[in-house]
Amino acid sequence: MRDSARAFLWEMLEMTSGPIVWFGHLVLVYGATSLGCSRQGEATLIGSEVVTGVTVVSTLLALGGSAWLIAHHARDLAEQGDSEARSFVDRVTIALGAFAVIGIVWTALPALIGPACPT
Amino acid sequence: MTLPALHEVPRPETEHDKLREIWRPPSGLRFITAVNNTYIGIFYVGAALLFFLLAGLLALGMRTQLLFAENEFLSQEAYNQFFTMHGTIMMFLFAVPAVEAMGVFLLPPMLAARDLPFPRLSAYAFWAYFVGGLIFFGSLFFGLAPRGGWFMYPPLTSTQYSPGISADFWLLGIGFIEISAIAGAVEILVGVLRTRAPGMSLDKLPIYAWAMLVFATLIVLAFPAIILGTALLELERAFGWPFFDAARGGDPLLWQHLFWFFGHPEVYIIFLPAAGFVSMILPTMAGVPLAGYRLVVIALLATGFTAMGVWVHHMFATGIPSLSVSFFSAASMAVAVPSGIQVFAWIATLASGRLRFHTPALFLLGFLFIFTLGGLTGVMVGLVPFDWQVHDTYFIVAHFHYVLIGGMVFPLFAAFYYWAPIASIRPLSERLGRWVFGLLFVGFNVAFFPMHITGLLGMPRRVWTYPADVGWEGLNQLSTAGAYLIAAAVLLFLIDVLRNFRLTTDKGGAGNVWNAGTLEWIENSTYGVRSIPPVDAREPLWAHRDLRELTEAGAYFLPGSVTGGRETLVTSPLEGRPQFVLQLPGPGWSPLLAAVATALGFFMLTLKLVVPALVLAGVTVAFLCIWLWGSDPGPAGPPADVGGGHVVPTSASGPLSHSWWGTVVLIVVLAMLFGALVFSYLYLWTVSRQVWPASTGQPLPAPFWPLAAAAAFAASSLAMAWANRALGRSRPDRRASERVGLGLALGLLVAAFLLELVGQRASGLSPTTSSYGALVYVGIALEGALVLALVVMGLYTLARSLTGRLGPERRATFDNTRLLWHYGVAQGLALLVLLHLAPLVLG
Amino acid sequence: MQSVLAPVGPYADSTAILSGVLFVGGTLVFLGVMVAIVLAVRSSSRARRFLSRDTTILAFGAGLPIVTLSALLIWGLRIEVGLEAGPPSALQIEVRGHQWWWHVRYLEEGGRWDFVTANEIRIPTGVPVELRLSSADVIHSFWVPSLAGKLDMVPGRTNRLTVQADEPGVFRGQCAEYCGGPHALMAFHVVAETPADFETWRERQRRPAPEPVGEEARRGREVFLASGCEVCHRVAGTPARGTVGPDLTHVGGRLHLMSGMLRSHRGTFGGWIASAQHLKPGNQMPSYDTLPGADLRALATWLESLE
Repeated sequence: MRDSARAFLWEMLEMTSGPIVWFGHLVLVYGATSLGCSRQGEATLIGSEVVTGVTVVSTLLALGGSAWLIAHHARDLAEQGDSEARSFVDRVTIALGAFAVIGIVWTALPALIGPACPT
Repeated sequence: MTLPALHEVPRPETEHDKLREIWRPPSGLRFITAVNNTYIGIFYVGAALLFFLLAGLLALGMRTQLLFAENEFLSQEAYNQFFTMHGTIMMFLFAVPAVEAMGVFLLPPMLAARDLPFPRLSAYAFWAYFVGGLIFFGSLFFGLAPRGGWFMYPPLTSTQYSPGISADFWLLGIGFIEISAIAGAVEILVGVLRTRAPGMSLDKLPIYAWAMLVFATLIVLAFPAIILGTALLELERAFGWPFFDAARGGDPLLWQHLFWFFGHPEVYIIFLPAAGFVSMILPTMAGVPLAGYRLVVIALLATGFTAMGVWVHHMFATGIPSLSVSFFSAASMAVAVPSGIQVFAWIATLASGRLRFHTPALFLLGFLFIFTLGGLTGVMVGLVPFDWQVHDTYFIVAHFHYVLIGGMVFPLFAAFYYWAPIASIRPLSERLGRWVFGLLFVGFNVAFFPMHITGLLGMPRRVWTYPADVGWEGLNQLSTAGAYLIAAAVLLFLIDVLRNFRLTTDKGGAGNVWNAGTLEWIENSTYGVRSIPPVDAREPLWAHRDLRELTEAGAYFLPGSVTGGRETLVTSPLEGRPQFVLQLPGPGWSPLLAAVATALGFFMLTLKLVVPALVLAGVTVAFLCIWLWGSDPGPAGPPADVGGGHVVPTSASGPLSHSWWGTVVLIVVLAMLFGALVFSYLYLWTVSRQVWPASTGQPLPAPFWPLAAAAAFAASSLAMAWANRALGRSRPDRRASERVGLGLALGLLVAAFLLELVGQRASGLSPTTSSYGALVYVGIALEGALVLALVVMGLYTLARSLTGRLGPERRATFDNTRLLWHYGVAQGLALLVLLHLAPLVLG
Repeated sequence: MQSVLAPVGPYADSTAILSGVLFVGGTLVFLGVMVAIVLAVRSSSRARRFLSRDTTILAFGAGLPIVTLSALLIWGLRIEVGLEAGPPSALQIEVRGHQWWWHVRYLEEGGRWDFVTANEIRIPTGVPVELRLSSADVIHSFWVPSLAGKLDMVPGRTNRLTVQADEPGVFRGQCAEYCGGPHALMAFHVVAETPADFETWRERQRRPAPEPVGEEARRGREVFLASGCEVCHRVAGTPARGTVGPDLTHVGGRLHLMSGMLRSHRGTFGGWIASAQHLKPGNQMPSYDTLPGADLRALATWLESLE
């Protein structure tokens, strides 16, 4: 049934997929940094190269994922013939995806600007 | 253009009379047993305003104390209690309840529903909050008020540095008031998603409803973190289980993570509904639809998401490595984008219409001024080096009052002046309203703007006095003068309300005085609208000028009652297609009494009177069962015609049912609670590996225990699934199978839990020696609490079956129990993995 | 004296500049938004048509923040990195927060303990000084705005803050994380001196307390040792070895008493000792209000002489 609970859940997840990707990105880079950067004088649990690696890889993956989301829904939108409600979902997904891209880029900036693990 | 009537009008007169009779509120003093959203909404708003006044008086006391350097108007102890209570009451007993209350009152009419989907739940939530809140406030009069600041950081709030029970008042009192908020969130989520006017698809949902969706989702995702946090601190205080005690492997920062993971979304929980008000009021005041509707929806969703990912910006100065902290600085910048979109959408709305400068519009202009300024200082403090200077100073006090008072209180006053005509025979006074606005706007800026400077000149927060020679006195005097102006504004508002607000729930309010376009302006009563109109536009009253008249004539859905009782229409979540008629309960004592018993039970625990607390817990459960016994009535008859030939059932089961949705939301809450526990475990492991078994040599339980427990958990789920299959069939031996299945599931669940508990005890692990032990036992306690609730639910369901109140078409009780059961099993298994595999993997 | 806007060294300068830019920029944006509102409500139809477009909403609501905040974020991050990554410190000092005073221990090269003092930190001008912050009880926060941003003192960990004063002076600081009771009265001072003056001061700190000069001062020392003061306080060179409260070996040389709240002289010494609970309710020192006046004066004389 098109409008069932399951359909609703999927549509909500679809619309917010961009921010979900960004949130995953934040969790990965913050988690890696917490494990890999010492609190001034304490031993770390993973090396600082691992931190950099995780940051770079997750940023690329997140950006790629968001780009794919945006492109996929833009294509859907261009095809037209969809209901108003469906194109609403597409537009929201694209816009939130674009917002997520900004968030991902900004979140990755600290890793580009400073040393991998300051102290 | 007219929306065609669904059937003959005028309707038979008896139909309307019968509708009124069914929805008639209880008379006299028994009005306290009302569960209708109109009543509960009014009670709720009233209570929130009461706490606003009380907390405001505390602030006035504080500002008077700060009028002079080395002043002695309030003693040090009194001041420390005042600022703690001011913050706590404003945040927990005023701000969130006020916006939730407005939602309870406004959402059903705005969606043309007759009530919220779980009316007794709202009643319970309100009374629990009200009684609990009064008890909490009362602690001030006995010198027992907490004094650890509204965020109650340990170790200051541990037993050693906060002896006595004042901290427990906060932990237990506020801890349980959060349950109220979560109950409200369930209502709002299910209400907005499933009880809308037919045809109201998501892209036609009023912005306020979108805002409340995000609001409720944030509550569901964020509140569990603080529920866990307060439970952990209370366990540490009461039993010595060390979560925040560094000497035994705890970490004070764990509290801060848990608190702020809740605390930051909390301020968006407070702000977003107010932004929703603005998006409803401003278009009406300008006479045009909201500009950029889609952009505003996107902005609300983006804000909600971002709100969950910035919490560490409250911890920039704690010594967390600066790279970690910078991620959150970046994320905090991001929130400016959706906020900017909303502000410019409002400006665009103003530009495309013609603003009428009535009182609500004045408050909105005030909001735009104050909130924009507050948002800009928010961007400033989002930059780490700047925050390192101004964190914990009066600059921050200025910032958050600008965004909270500007962003929430001003829209709230706008909302009172705007929507009063729905609830009151007379609107509030335009003349007094202007004065209220003027005094509040000037008073606010005079009070709080100087604080930016005071903070930059070095004045920290939470100081009961300051020396004469640091140059802060003049600025403080300005701030105090402003505070008194604010008080004058509030007083004038009270006068306006007393003089003009004449509550009506039946006779119709002052009417659509602003010529607004949304459904709540159709004449409203305890039964909501006379008939439920279909919707094909965002501003239905503007699209169809005769909609109101036809609705009141009964031309549309459900002009009377098809079941003979209270009911509303349930519609599909995306498109708004009618799906079934929901039978709703009427007034009753059990939610009220259950709430009072719960509040008193927590109070007894605060006083360390355990036996009375347990008794009251039992009383609560008893009243809950009485309350629930009347629910899940099954179909009231064959599917009914709700208007124009639309025939829908009078009950539903499975994912179609509203209670299924409510249970799913509850499961998300429980999962977040468990997630917070997993976070706490992993976090403390990173901080205190030295107390983990790999370092201490603490033996783990023998594999038999977790394996047996896992097997018992899994078997319990299977038994429940078997009972489910039995229920779905109409074989003669169905009843026996379902009961046996339930019984087995019960026994196996308890066995699984006991196996895990015994296994840990057998290994000699103690909860007080180190944070590792404490975490293990709190995980087990969490599972145990859920198992206990499931046992009660299982026995209750069994009772339903034994008394013939369970069947293939009358199975909501069973389904909800089953859903939670499977979740409980899944959580139990996840717990086993955490407690038995994680130590091996992590080392 | 205690102001973010009066920086005296490189660990506060860059933030002050950032603050200035933020205020100017913030004010401009704020004024811009207010002007837009006025235009939207009152002006010609051309301006109003412009403001009502979706593209305008996106350009100003999203585009403008994205551009300005990208720049601001990068700048802010660079300042942050700069504050963390300065040259190695020339001096290391351990500061431990207590309810409601500051325990200060200077370290030698190589990390060994040099000497102990309390509530006043002297540093040489022109060099970075590393403060190792910890807590003995609850969370405190060390903040001296003229010299640097704040950093919390969290039980269970040691946080490091670098400060540097480029000119001599007395800079007031205050505990910036509510720590219960008289948190408002938990202040301190950082006194920056020329390297030569600082050396002189440091040498003196390493020596035990000077012998009392004069009858009254001698009497004062007797009163100190007879009244139980030695249970909580240490005075090197006397039998007093207590560590519950601040070290008093050179208390007379400090500019302030009562954790930075009272100017130090004989009168305030006496006043503090006699009415500690009245002046700073709830703190760990009782009021010695049963001491005879002559004893109190003698005590104050002796303590003041401990330079």
